[in-house]
Amino acid sequence: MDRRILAPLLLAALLSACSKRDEPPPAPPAPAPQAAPAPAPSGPEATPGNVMLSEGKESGALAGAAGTTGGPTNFGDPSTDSEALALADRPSGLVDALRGTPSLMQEPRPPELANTENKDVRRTRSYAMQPPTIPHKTDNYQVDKYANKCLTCHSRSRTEESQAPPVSITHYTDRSGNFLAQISPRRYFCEQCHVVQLEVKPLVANTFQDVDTLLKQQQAKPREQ
Amino acid sequence: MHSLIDLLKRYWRTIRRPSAYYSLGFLTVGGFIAGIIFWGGFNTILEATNTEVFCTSCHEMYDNVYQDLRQTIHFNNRSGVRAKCPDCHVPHNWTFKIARKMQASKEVWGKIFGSISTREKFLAKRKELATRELARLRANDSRECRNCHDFGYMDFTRQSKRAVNAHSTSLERGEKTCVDCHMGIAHRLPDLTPEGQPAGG
Amino acid sequence: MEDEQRKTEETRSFLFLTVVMAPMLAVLFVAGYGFIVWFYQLLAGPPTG
Repeated sequence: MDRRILAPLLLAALLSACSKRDEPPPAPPAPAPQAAPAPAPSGPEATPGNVMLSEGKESGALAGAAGTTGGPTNFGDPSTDSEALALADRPSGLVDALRGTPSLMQEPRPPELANTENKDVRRTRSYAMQPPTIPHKTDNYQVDKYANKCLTCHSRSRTEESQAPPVSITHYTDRSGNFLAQISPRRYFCEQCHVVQLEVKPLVANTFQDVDTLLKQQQAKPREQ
Repeated sequence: MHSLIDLLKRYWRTIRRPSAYYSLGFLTVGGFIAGIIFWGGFNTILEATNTEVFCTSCHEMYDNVYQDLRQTIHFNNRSGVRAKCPDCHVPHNWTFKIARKMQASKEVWGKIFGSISTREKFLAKRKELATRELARLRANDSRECRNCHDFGYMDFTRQSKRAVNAHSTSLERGEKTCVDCHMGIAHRLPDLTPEGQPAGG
Repeated sequence: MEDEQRKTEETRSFLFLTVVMAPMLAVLFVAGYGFIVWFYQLLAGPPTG
């Protein structure tokens, strides 16, 4: 079969297999619940002491998640369906780094905003190809078709004066591997790959080990072959 | 017409002669008080043209450069200390301020004839406008910046390393002025690459 | 000239001078000064701070 037909077919098959696993799909944004079969105007009476649902349409994502997706797993309107209400009101077993574990009926307190770390100290890279993280604030730095603020310090011609790391040669190649005289358009938007860091605890536990650690472990193991 | 000329001649004669009915004290003090009232009113009006509300009353300013400013630290920040339009664009020194106010007749002309009355016209002219303002600030060594940000009172122990490096070297020696590095701090930059050079890093 | 008329003329002249003429002249002088400085700056370059 022609490769041009086979590839999209495989892709489609893969996507449909993925979507079957993730029922119900993630909650759509606010407009969706309005089109769903169970609108929430009866909210305030049927849900004692619950702030989220009494806000009616503003409950948005939660109303959608509680069952007005309109798909095959339709729980009905949680404000009138006591079964759905009971289901929704228990602590969710889900690990959601942003929400934590309160039940879907509670509105968790979001963490406080943290300031960007601005220490100008280089950090370890987890793997050789990692785009280095930005060690300083970049609030309001303009990077658009008119101007690129990052390059006012990090471009090759400005490095001597700014003492900032110049962009690497990899940023000057186009996708065919040709070297260009200026930053390649595919690498022009720095913050697509390079990020600042905040002084907060990681949201999700991370067991990543970099290759040096793995190599040391291998060498430390007695060779039993 | 004839009687008008006669009238003017009569009043001119009255003004030229010493007053017969008003004392020296009355004329002097009355004139002085009137002068105070006038000067106060004049300066009130002058300062009224130096307010953010006045500057942004033109849609050309409100829709374009003011919207840029609203996203920046000079508009909204931790301490609430703000810069408004005249803080940067109108010199504080009286002579230069009056000169700038007369120069504003160009802006009145531009408003009447719509030189930047649409977004497209504004964007087309943006490089010229920005270049002019940057040249002004470079020429006067960012005097308007220094109206608030006094270099002699900067505490280097409270600045980040990058800032200390930059300020203690080229700024201190006078090789660079504030706006050379901080251009774009208040309004978005247009493409400032010189004509004939390709844009981008 | 009659006294009454003279007094009236003087009053009117005084008011005209203080309320109209002097302010207008002051504004013209200041504006003229501003224009002169502006044109001087066009020729001699902007202020160097």
